[in-house]
Amino acid sequence: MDPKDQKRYVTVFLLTSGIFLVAFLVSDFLYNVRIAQVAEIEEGINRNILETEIQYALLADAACEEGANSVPLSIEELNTLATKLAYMENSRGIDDPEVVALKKDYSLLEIKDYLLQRERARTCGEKISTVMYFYSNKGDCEECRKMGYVLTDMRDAHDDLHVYSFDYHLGLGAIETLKAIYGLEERLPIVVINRKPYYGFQDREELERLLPELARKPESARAATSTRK
Amino acid sequence: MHEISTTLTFVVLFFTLYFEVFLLFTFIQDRKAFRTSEPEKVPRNPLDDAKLPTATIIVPAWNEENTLSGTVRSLLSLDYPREKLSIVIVNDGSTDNTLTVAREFLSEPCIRVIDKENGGKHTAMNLAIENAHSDLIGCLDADSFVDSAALREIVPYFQDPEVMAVTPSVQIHAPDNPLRRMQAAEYMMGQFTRKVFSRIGGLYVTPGPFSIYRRSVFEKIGGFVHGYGTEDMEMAMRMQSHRMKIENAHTALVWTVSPETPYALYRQRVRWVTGFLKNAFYQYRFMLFSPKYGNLGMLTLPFAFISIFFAIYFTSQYLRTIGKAAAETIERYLAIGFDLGFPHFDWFALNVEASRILIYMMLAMTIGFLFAGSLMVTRTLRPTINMLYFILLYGLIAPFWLVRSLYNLITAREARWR
Repeated sequence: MDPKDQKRYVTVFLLTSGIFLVAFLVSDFLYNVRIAQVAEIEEGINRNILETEIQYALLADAACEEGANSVPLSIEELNTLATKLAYMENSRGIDDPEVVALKKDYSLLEIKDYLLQRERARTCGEKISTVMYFYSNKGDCEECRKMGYVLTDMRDAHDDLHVYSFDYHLGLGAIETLKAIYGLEERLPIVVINRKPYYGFQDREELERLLPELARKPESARAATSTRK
Repeated sequence: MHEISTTLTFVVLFFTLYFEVFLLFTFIQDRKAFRTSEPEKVPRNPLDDAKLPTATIIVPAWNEENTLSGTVRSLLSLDYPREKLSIVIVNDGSTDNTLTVAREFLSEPCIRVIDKENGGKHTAMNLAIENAHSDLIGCLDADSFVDSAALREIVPYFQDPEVMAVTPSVQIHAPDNPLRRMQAAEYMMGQFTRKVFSRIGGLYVTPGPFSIYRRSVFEKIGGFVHGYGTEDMEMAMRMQSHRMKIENAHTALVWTVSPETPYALYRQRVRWVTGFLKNAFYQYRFMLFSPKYGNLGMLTLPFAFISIFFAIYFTSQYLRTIGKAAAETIERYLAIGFDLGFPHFDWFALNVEASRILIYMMLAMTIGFLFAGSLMVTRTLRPTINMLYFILLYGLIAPFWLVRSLYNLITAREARWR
């Protein structure tokens, strides 16, 4: 064989290896950028919630008055975060330690937001529409994906519907507490509405029946929610 | 299981990328050979008419009454001294009016017609070769048409005494449906790889449409044989086994009529791939991985074989992804009905795993080769609908004939010519 060809084989091998190395480095870099983005969103939500809590504490009863409602909306950011975490879970796998850590932070933020909304409702006498959704993506819940589509669709249609989704198997103490409070059995998917658990897939009509206050409020225009999932 | 699949993906990606980088590297190293200047700026023929060799072009024809006259007329339009050109039409026992059509050209002094019993293309070729006395002998399938400059573009390559055969740039004639458009892009990209292969001595086919040989080739290694229905591949492999140099003249354009229907294409490709596999494994296995046969033995032949499995693997992954997306869409529809909202693209959703980045790179290089081939053939660098058809369709349909050809190899079945 021509020595020139041998040299070419070696050079091409080195170039191909270089391309592989670049691909791994770029992938790693982009992954870290995304982790940082998600962490930044979580930090932002945390700050918003803290800010709101302080506002409530400062304003006390005046918090419900007209004009005092400068509550930073965290639900949209939470939804954005949920979408991004779902992407990461898809690409890195459900057991990726960093994804699991971010999901735990996200779940805690959801619970904090839930408590805050509940407090606001109690203080101001408002009725809030809240759905707690427990799912699993370990392959033991055939209808969870379908349930997720329905809830995402409803969330898009109703700006004031608060959907808090929790990975049943995340192993987070706060989620375990929620499970204990509502006496949840492992029959997924589960939605908790007005403190009552409903097991198995619930279609949109059923959920709207369980949340009659939604029917009294106009659906938000699809165009207005097309930027979030 | 997941780890095995991931490892396999990276192995397949490494070898595929290696091959693509090899093509690119050779192209960059040897770019002068890939001249793509405007024809008028390039001296097309460094040879005087007096120095041009004599040439015989054989047109083997079996039931080609519809395309034969076009083929012969294109040969008569060749920019080549008429006294140095012979055209031999061999009617290989046609059952239609092929012979009548052929005889209509007998008024041309450079044309001869031979009528024989049907025996296959190789027998038609051999009969004409036996009676040919020119320096060069070529073949033109009766469903193909040559550009008037084709022979003049080919002949200068024979100034190198080591060059024993020169292949042209075969392109698709008048692609008029998505399948033919897909093939048109495929042939253009094929031109790029064929040129690279010729630069490294790795060609393993001298296509039926207008490959030109020195007459001495047949004197030394004999005429055409059946070659499992691919006599052109067998001839090229036999020449390579005798270390005979085969070049490619990428500016010598030849147009061929391509299969119109998926089934016709399937049959054609099954014959080609089966022929390749059988020639490579039954007749010329000794060249595989043998450094004695240079890049042909070490790279182009082994990769041509292994790429069959790679193509099947990539398509299975592609189908898996499409299937998953379709299942999700159906599930979504069943859950919430039609979603009339506008889908939006989120950069965050772009998969940036290393394997995906490598696939993006691989696709980018493939698209680059498509453009390189297009530039070599049309001398323009613009995207075409043909390329889009190739990218969308080829990977989905090629595995059908690849799998069937492998089956034919394993079961020693013969792929039918017609």
